Amino acid sequence: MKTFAVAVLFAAAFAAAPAMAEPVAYKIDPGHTSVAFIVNHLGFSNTIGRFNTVAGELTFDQADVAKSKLSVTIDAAGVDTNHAKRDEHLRSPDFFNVKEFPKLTFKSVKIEKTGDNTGALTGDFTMLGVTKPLTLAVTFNKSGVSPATKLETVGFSARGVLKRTDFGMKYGAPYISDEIQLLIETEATK
Amino acid sequence: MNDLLADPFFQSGVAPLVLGAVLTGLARAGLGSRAAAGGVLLTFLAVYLWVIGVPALPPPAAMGKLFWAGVAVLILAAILDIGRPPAAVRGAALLTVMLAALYWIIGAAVSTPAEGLIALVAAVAVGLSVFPSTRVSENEPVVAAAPTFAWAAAVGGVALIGGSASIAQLGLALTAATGGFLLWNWPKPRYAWGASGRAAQGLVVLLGAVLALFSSAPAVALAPALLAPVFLRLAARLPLPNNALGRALRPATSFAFAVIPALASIGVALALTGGEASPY
Repeated sequence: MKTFAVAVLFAAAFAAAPAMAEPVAYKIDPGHTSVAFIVNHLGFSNTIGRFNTVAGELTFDQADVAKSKLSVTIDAAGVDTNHAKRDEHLRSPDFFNVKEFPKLTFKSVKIEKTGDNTGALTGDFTMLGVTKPLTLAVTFNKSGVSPATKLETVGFSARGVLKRTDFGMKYGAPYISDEIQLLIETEATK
Repeated sequence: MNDLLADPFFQSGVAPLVLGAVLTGLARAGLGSRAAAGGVLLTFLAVYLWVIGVPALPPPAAMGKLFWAGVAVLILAAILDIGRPPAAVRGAALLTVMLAALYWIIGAAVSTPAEGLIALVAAVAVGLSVFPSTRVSENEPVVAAAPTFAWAAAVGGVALIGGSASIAQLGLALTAATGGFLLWNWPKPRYAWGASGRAAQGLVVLLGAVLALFSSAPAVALAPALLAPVFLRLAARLPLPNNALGRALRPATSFAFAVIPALASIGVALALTGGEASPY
């Protein structure tokens, strides 16, 4: 009987294995997603901002990350640097020009594994109507059922750098730094 | 030196005033006195490149379109000033190109009745720029240029308070460049405010339309400045002596009258926004 039970367990585990290796579709959890940026201000300090409205979809294959896919849409009007007047200015044609270009988008093109839980995610990033490749260094933090939501959840951190003038955002550069650091923290749920 | 060149107030004040005066002189020397106001347009383009950089071609955004529209009207106005076709042809050519530029720049942004009203007002203002009051002769350059100075000051001031730093800089640069043109023409008028001058005024309207439609600046604040030509007519009724002093005072008083509505625009913007500027 004991042998039979072990056999059944092995069979069940074996049967489940191919399913676990399949890419799994997730939705970005906006409540646990932060897309932040750091920009140098005239050499005096670094200003930190974020985008408050982010949506996206992730197809994640933990067994073969190269098969994973990500697409993210950011509402440019949701830019927030904790200063209303500056945020108005950031929405103007000087910077994000939200009237003409309300969305920033990222669509993955290539994902390479660089370590046990790290990877390089390259995608097409579109801002101000200009699309350029952007590579993010991604750390896979954890997957499992969230004790809070009871949903299957995966979590990642990503870091990257872009040059805003590459996208036509030239005002104030280089005094307001051309190079923008990106800090992304996200959870996605099934 | 680098700090000075990067100073927004230098970029949009002293520098365009000097550039406006120098380029007006160069335009006069190279193209003749009727095209001297091309120096104002050239200064606008130079400050644009200085502050914002070379825009993409074709430009994806309204601000980039504004630059290339500026290049187009500079060339057209110079041709009109040099060639001197009949006045009706000059006006029709300039109006057609400026309205086409307006449509190109703001057309895609007009989707609500309020935005349509802004577009309509801008189109009328372009018309007033190209076909100013017949009582104002282009051979009275200070009087003819006064609305350009006033409107540019209003656009620059309103943008500075509540909208976009680059538009503020460009508006104030156009104000200063017009000032540079005026330095040649007061108290004694020397150069005509020809098609190039009218194109410069039309360019101010395009800049104001971009401010009104693409930034958070209160568009209504620009409305009082539109009355500058009316104030110009009021100034013309002032009883000034018909002698050398009177001839020197007439452009000065006209100019001062035209600026009053621009100051009102800035006052309205201050009242509506609280006056706080972006800390960048």
